[in-house]
Amino acid sequence: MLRSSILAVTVLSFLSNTSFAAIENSDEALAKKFAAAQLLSAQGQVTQAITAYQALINANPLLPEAYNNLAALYLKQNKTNQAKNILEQGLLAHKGYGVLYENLTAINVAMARDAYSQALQIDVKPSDIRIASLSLDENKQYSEKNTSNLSKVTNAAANITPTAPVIENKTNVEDKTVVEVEAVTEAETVPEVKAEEKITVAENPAGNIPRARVIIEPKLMDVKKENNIESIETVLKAWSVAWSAQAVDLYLSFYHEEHKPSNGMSRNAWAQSRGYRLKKPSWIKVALSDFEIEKNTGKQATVKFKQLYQSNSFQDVSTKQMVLLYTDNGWQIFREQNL
Amino acid sequence: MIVKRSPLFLCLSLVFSVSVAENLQLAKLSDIDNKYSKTSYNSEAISVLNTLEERLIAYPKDHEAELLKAILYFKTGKLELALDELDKLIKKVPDFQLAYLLKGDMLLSKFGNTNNIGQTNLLASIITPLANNKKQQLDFLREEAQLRLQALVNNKKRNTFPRQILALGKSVKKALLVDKKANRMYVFSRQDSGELFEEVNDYYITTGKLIGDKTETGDLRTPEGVYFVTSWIGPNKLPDKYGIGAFPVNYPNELDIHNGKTGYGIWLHGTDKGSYSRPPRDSEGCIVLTNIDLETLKSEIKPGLTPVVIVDQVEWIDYATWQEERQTILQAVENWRVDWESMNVNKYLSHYGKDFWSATHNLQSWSARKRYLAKNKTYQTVSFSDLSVLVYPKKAEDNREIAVVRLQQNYTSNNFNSDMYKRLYLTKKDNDWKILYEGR
Repeated sequence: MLRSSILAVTVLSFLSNTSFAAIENSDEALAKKFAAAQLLSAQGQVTQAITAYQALINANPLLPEAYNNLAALYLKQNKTNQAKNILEQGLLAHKGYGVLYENLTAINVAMARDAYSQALQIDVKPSDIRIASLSLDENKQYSEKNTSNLSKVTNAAANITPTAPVIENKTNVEDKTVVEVEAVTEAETVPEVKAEEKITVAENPAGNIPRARVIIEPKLMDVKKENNIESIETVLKAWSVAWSAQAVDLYLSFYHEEHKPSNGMSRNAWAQSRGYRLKKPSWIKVALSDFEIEKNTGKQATVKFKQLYQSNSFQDVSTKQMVLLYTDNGWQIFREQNL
Repeated sequence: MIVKRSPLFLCLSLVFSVSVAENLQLAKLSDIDNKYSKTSYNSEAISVLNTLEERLIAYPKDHEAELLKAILYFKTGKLELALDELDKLIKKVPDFQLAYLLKGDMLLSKFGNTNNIGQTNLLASIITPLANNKKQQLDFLREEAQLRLQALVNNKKRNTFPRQILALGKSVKKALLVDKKANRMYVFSRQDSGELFEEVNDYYITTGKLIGDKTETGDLRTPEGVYFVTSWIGPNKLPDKYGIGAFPVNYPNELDIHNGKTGYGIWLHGTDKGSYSRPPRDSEGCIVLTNIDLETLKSEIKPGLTPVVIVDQVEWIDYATWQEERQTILQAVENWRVDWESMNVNKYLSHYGKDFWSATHNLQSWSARKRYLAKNKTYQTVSFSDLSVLVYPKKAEDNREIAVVRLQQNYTSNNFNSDMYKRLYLTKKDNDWKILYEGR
């Protein structure tokens, strides 16, 4: 079985596991489920990720990020109408939630543009629109228990969009035309569209709209062989995605419970410090390459790879060596060090 | 004599008001929330919707009705229903350009004005860098939308009868009536029970590029007059632009030739693949239908029999007036028949106008010939059957009223018998219908 499929099954069973009922509504459980859905998405498990997000929405109808990310997945499947419907549902739950509104605008504009091209028999390729996934804003509390906080969240969202990435442009668009969308915050303004190479959301003069940001999601779907090299690579790429998405819980979940930080810190202190470092930059991008398996017993593996780390404030290329242990939950990081 | 109209038709004409029609243009939708679901349909909107549903039951391929349904939904605030309707329509008719235009407008309606069709900033930004022919194409689509909407409105307004069709013979199953101004073709059926007919359906059509009656070759106008379909030409014998085939009509007819009109090749034909419909005024004089509509009508149109009456504007008259017009002309034909049978040549010739002509005669030579033939008659009987009466608009042809009568004539006498179809052109002079032309 494919490594990524095992992961998918694990994540899905996690999502549907009734033993979590007790903490069903806690923010912690919510964040975990959300992270799990993000992981599936990052791994290219689109169908499962859709199921995961839909389950999240059913259980927590007031989670705007879930609507957004579900819409993003539908777009990946070219189900534009479904993406549109989900964003509309999300906006019913969160009136005026900026990101949802902007993304819905972008979809409508792209669809309208395609319709107009057909109407006038203009020979252009259909728009390929993508929207970026959002991470949960951990400063907010979403679970239904915390209704006071929730109303604060929705009220705040009425005018100000969250500090999350908005629109992502797929990088492999050479053969498709993509539209540039100028975000509209006032309902009276009709968005202008120009044939351009990428979708960006322009900054609002008032500064209410977050920067457009490109997230490159690794393509993991083409992992074909049940080969340890590739399954380790798959896990580590997912780890880098969690890191890039600044999804702390998800990121930490890749580490073995016996993981010993190389600098001698306690695991708790290390986890806290990692959480801080992941959340501090406004964005992070981690890319991995040149995987080399130095040793693999099937239960323990040593792997070396090149790591490109970028954030708004720092950039670094390093070579890393990791020891991974194979557990019931698949490969987990046991040791990590820079060479 | 009972006039058969569908009950729906009557009920609609009762509840209809013009204001609905005028409000049917796209309205502004300003917000994304569901406040519109609180707006209930008013009774007028429901009645229009009923009309469209009835149209679809009568003619499931009435894609115009589906388009209008979407507009109606949109107008009453049911944006989702409107878009669903358009998506379904586009799936069925993937080359219905107007449906795409409306879809674009409706998608943007949440974000700004959609006060009229095809006037969003987005569309303007798409159109601006393009060639003028695209701008013109957009104007045509807008006009097509207006015409299709207007046809819905007019249909509901009208509980009247076309002065252009007063009788259809039993061999003539259908008559086509083209209103150039409305870009519409109406189809009338003869009832099995007798001479009367009811409207079956009407269709959006394309006419000649230029407005006005055709007078000469290449003037890009659609002729106005009473014509008959002459043949069917299948698609394999035609260039693509004629779509699924063509029904040529007999332009120039006897009257056109007499009046010195020239030109040829006025056909009723389909649409090139790639487009569901063509702009309102786009042909070189032909009448263009959508392939789907033409396919539906094809089996009903009989070469040699089916009349095609083309007018600038159909004269819709009330039932009493229609009956009066019909009776006047039928009576004139009957009087002519009786006087002919009576052997009184002068009385018989009194039915012919001063400017009468036939293929080989004018009034003078015709009179001489008839007087000569009468000398050897001891008796004669004349009977008519299968009568059709089709009428030019009042202002047509030198401001004379002209009617075309097609009939089957059975003639017996002591020295000659015949059975033939005849075509008469009658003209009204001093409140009396006189024969202007007689021929086969």
